[in-house]
Amino acid sequence: MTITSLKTPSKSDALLDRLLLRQEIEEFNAAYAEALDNGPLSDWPDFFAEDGLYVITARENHNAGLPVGLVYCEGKGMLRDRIFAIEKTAMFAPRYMRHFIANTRIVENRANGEIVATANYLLLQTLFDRPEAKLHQIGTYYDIFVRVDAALKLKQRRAVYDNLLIDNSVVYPV
Amino acid sequence: MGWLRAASFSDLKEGGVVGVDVAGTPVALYLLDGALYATHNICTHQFAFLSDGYVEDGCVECPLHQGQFDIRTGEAKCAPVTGRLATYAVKRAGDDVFVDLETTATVEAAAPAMPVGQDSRTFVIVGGGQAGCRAAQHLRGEGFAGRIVMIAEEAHPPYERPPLSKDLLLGKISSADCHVLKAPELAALDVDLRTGTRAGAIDRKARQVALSTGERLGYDKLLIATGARARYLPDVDGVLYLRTMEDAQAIGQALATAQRLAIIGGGFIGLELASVARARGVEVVVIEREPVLMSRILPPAIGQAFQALAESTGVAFRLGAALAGIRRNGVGTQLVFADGSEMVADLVVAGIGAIANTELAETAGLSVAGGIVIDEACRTSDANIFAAGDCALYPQAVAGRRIRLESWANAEAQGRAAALAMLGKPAEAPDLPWFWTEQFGLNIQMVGIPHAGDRVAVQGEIGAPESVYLTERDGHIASAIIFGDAETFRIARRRFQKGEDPSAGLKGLRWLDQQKESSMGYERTLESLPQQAAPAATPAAKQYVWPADGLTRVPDWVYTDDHIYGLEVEKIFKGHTWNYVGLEAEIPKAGDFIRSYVGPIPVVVSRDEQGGINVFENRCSHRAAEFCRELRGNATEFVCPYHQWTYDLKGNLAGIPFRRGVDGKGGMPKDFNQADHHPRKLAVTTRGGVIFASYADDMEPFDAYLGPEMTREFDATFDGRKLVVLGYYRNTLPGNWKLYHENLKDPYHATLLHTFLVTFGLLVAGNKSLMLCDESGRHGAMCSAKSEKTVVSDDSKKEMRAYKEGMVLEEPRFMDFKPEFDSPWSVTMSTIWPNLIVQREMNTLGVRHIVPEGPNQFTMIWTMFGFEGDDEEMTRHRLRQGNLMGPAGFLGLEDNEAIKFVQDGMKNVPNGQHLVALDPGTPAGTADTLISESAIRAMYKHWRDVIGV
Repeated sequence: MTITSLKTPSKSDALLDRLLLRQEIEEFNAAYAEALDNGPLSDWPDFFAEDGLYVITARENHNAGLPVGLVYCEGKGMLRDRIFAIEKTAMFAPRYMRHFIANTRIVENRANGEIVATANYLLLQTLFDRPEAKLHQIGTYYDIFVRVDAALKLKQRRAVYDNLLIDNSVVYPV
Repeated sequence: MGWLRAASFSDLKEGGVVGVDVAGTPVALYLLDGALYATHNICTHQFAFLSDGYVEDGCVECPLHQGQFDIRTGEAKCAPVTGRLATYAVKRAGDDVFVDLETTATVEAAAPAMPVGQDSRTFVIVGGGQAGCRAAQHLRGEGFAGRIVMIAEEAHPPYERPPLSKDLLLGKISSADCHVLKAPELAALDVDLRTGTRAGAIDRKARQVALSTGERLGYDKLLIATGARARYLPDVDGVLYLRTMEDAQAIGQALATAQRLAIIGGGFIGLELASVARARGVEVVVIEREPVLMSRILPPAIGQAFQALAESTGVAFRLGAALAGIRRNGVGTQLVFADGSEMVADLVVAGIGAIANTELAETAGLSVAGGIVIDEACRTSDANIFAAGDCALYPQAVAGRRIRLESWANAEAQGRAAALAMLGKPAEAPDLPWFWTEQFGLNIQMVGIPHAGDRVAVQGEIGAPESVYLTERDGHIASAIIFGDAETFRIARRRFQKGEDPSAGLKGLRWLDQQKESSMGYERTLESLPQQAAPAATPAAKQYVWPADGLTRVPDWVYTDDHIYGLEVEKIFKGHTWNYVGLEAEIPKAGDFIRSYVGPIPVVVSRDEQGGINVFENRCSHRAAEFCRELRGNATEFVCPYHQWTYDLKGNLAGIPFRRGVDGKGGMPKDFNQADHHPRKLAVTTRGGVIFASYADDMEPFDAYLGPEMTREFDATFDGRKLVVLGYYRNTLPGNWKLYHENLKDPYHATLLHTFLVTFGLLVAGNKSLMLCDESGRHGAMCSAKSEKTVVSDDSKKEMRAYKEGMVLEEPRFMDFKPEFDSPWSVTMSTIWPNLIVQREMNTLGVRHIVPEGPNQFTMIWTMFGFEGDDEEMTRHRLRQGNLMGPAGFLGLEDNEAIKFVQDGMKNVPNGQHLVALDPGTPAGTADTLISESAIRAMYKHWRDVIGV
């Protein structure tokens, strides 16, 4: 038995497209996580379209429609400024970050080429003076992708975390 | 009579005084630099022989209350004496000294400069008591020649109240003896005295006072000296009070036949009355709600001293006794206590404090906070209106709180200060507060202001004659109280006034160990605090010793100790503070609620059907369940999920399932009163859309709590525009909650830690800036003005290692400042004690709510907001600028990290102390340089007062 034998040709195309797109988004997210976990951080803004919006916010704000962001960046310029500040000016204790991204789901493939998707994320943070890695954030990415020169880019990423109480500070992007 | 022989010259001593009797008149004779002087020998204040007093600098000082008279002129020189002493012509012939009682001494004081009537101004004094009368006297004495109108509600000419509970009750003096001024003196002042008249309202714009007679009286300057009235027990008949002449007369009559007197309230009035009653042979029981006498104003050991003295004359006490009811029966008045016990008395008098008569000031819109708010010169918030006496607050905070002194000496001093200020004359250096009471045969005097939390040193046996008490607060002697030893008191008072150590010369002073020494109340006071698990072998007072260097050092235990944290919860968060709990914009509609915190204690903030805001503990009164679990929402009632006990929006217990049981079985006891069982409700106030709550039921209004400068800054941010909540951040910081206050009272760190600030010109050492503190030291505001083009001198760059040249933002627009506030500052960070930070970082605005969770951790709840009327671009500007602050903010995350480092340092290298010595030129308080830690020191000055270490 083969997989294709179970499907009608037209459906199979759609499914295949879907699987391919999902795989593409998962690869995108893996690369995204790699940039944030292992660097270089300066790669991170390139995951966004030029006018991309990036917001980290708590579930309570997201559900209530409140616009505030822990990080609120409109456009790649602000993303690059943030990386610049983290690398060149900010003072914080050294740490390792590790992303786990799962449950990738395509919500809508819009006629204008925008792809609405979500994925759950788990982010662990390890400080150098403690034996354990601590749960830094648990949440969901609410994304809108577009294609720029055929490559997926984020037009919008809202990282919405469930653990409302942040452990001290959020240094790196999520 | 002419010249009468008074004494032998050889009996006189140079620089001394002797008392003689001249034809029945007591005369004091003095020899000063070889010259003879004679005065009447009895103080014009109270009965004491001046010849038992003390001669210095041409003055004689009364042994009783240290009033001074000029020996040459008889002029009264200082409080408490005001009446001139009679002087007599005196001469010497050989060894005989002669006095002429009908001729005054030749030296006379200058007459008033200007005859009355040549000044067209009208000064109105509302209040016919001691402060008002003295003000009138000093106005004339200082040469005021305009019209003085005095509005007095009582029918009497101005009279003094101290004798009402003393000599008048004993029948030693008549009511006329209580008058502040004798009839001819009062007449000479040419005051238009309107007795039996009430001032109903002040029209500040028209400068008129509306009188009960219908007249509208114009004024150029107005003095409010309306005094205070007795606090009444609610809904009780058959209880007398002591405030007015009529009260005293009624009590005096009742005492004549009474056999058993019950006094409700063990304060000074109650004890003086007890003393009089005992002297008249009446049995006395004093009933006091608190476990120690006067525990709100005196350290417990001193309350015990007063109790011991009273007990030595047979007064019985019922302490910690709550009255449940008072009713008349056939034999007398029956008092029923909460514990079910009863007693009967044939006379019941309550002395449970006084309420300042501030209604006139309040309705006129003057600043009032339990008393009229005035400065040292008795000025209110209106330049033409002054206040003095019992109705006004003492201008200085005592242990972090504004109080009313309600003393004779204060009325005297403020009466004079007000007169000077009304005339535009400079204020005089104030005397130290002074107070006296007479009870059980002792004259007891007090100088300085004691506070319940002071440490106490005692000489002699507690409560015994000649015992001496010094109280210490914040490393200084705060007050001296002496039981019936006028000479020792005189010395201590003079030392006090000169700023010398009043304990010098007191042998046998011993500091009371707060736990061991107490035989009655003190232990109970400590027991009422949590964390009492501290082993008895290490008494709190010994374990927590502040470094000898004072406020420039802060010991680690301030930040790490569980017992200290427990004290903070009780004395600060549950103490006399306004705690932030939320924004009105979060609960706009009836039924809206949020979960919030006062200190670590969870509370519910709700809006009821009438639009009122209620704050109550989030704890079911049945089994303690934290019943409200949602962050926010809308409800008609709150139902505890465990047993369905139901609370209304005001926090009242509205329903209990099966309260009456089932089939006549089970259920609550019959006498169960639902109204008595509700979560603890807190006092609530709002300002500019911000909600505050307090466990204290006697909080001053919020503006008085902040002080004028902090209020101005608060109002600049909350300027009347309606707030729109943009969202929340919450983060938990591994540090002591006070470190967050300190971080924002430490402008020194801002230029060094935050490269971002410096590089983009938000803050540079040398920018226009201010570290503001309120008078109490607990609140602060770090203020700076953004400089347009950053020019950092090379010298400064070297000092600030964080500075990075060539750093350029791709999107600098988020750093723009769009002016929208009536303030010279583009950035202010206000620390509002004890749990609020107001962030006005250019256009990104937020309130940060500090929720402590033990000494080593706290949570911050950030509520970011904009204003109604912001267009979309303005809202987005605020959101973009929000990248500066918050747990991920360019600046915010650095502060959080630094606080963690500090707590780590204390944890890993323990038992040290912090050095906060920058800017010694400003010991504590507002600093005009960024390189200062004076605001941190100011905070600890207040903190130590409140915590008592």
